[in-house]
Amino acid sequence: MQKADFWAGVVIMAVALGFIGMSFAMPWRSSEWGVYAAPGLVPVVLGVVLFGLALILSLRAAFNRGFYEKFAQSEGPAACAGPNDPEVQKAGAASSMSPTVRVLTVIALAAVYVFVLMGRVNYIIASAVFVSGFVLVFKGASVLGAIVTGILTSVAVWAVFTKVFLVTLP
Amino acid sequence: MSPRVFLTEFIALLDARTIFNAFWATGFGIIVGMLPGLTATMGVALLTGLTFRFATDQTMVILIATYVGAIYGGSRSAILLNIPGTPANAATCLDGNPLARRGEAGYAIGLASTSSGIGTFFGLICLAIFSPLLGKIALQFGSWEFFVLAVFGIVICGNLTAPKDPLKGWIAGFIGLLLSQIGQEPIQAYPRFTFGELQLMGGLSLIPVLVGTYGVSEIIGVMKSPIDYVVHTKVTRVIPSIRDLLSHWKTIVRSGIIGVIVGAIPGVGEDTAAWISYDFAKRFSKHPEEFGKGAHDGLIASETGNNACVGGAIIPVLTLAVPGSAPAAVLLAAMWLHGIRPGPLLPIEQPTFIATVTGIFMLATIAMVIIGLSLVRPLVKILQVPRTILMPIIFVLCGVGSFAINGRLFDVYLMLLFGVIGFLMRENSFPAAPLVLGFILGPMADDNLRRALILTDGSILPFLNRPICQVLWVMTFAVIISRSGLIPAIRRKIRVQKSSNN
Repeated sequence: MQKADFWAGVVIMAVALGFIGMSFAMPWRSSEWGVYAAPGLVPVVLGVVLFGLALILSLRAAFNRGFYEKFAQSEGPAACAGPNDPEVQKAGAASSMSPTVRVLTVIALAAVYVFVLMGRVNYIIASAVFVSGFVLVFKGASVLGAIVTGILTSVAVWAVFTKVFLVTLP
Repeated sequence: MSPRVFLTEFIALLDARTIFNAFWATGFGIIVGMLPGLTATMGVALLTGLTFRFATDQTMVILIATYVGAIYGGSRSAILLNIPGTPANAATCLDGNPLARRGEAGYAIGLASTSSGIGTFFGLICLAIFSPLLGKIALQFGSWEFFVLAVFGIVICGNLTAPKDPLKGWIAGFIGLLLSQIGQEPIQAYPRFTFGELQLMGGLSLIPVLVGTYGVSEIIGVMKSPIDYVVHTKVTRVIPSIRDLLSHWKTIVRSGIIGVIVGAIPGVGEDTAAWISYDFAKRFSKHPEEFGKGAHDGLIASETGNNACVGGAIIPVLTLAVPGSAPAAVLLAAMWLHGIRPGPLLPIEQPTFIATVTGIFMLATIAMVIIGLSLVRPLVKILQVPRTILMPIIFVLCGVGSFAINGRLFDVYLMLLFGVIGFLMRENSFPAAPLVLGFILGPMADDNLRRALILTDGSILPFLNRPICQVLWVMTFAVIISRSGLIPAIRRKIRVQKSSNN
């Protein structure tokens, strides 16, 4: 966590500097109220405070090992169920993937659905493909089960939201 | 608020359509709350988009009923699976699950249902009494007070939602404040940080940000380590004995008060209320050694506290337009979408709205207790739906909810972006609540700071010498100093000096 905090602080400082820079590029005396009504005033204040907080985070990560040791010691045993409890079991063959691969796969599937399918393909088909594909990739059901789940989900969502909630779908 | 006004508004709600909406929304809320991976915020945010075209009064019924149901629903999985359905029910695991393991699952569920009902009822009584009172104080608020309130909100939210590392809470809060500055600013209509993009002119929409931060990030988190749940315990008797409940009246009253107070603090939610209630119940108990092993007191304290927090969280929403919790933030957004203006002028512009909201809470509480006590076994079956099937379905619903408000795909892209940001924040122990609170309070802080400076021609004295500002500044600095390590350092120095004098 120490390393992650250091780099998180660096990234946040960069973002804050970006906001400050862009704020200074805005007009500062374009209205009759002068600088007090300047659109960049509040973002500059917020950016400076955020930069300061992120700097403290990075410095703490770089030089205050004691904080992280105390932090790790204070992490007591979880009050709630863990993966070895009888009530929980690893979900199917999805557990054969590493956590990082699973996270990236979820994001990739979601990105394909949102950026490629939605708005370009009929909503029912897009959602059915997404849900079926998701279930198949993570082996949550058989091929037929995944397809049936996908179709049922997309048709049910379309029917309920367009006919009952009167929501326009993409 | 007089009891006659409340009764009039409550009776006006008792038509078939409203009762039907209250019951199905409460049931939906219970299911959302019960399923680990879904949160109350996500459930309310989803329905906000979907009920956009409904009448305002029915929308409020649906959203408040979902909120109440979701906070209660998490107790089901906490008791049966030792996994809280929502963070608000984490404390319920400690005594709820041991009760289930020794064959008293039904009784635990009954205790949780009635405690939650009592907690919500307590919260709505406080809502009815304190909202008008706080509303009168809120009328004294000027631009200076609203700015300082925004700062205080971020500081205390960051402190309480990241108790071990408030620095990360404050960073999240200020990131939220900065992100809220995107779009056309209100004083000169200058487009800030839009990069020439038309879609960013109106700023980032709140519902996609909320659905992404709380919903999509949760989906990614669940799929990182997907586990399915198997309920082994049998559920039999559900209705608790009145004598048992009454014997814990002190715990109930104490937890109710704690829940309401915590709920009224900006951005701090039901999970904090539950833990503080549980902690106090243990401290004041004659048998603290029983806590963690199935103590009825522990279960009653956490469920009363988290549900009383619901009413408490609505108080600042109605009087100051500042959310007391994340689901309350969604309710605030829904009110804005439907043309209601929460804040100091609400009792003047819509004098019966507070009474109507109180009446809706009452209806939702009744629905929650009835559904909670009657549909025990069917709801247990829903808990066992595989995550790999449930999560893509939830994502599809998140997409619909984000798209529904403005009808643009950009909001769905935003939802996914904030889902990834929310997940990365969670992995690095940055709390999401201050980010969302900052996002909501940002426009208030921006508007009021600049307006105040214009009014006083740049003088910052009113920020320091107005009484309400002074109180808020003192509380803000008290929170910062208490977490800065300064006080322990001073104590150490005094101790060293004393021992060297001796």
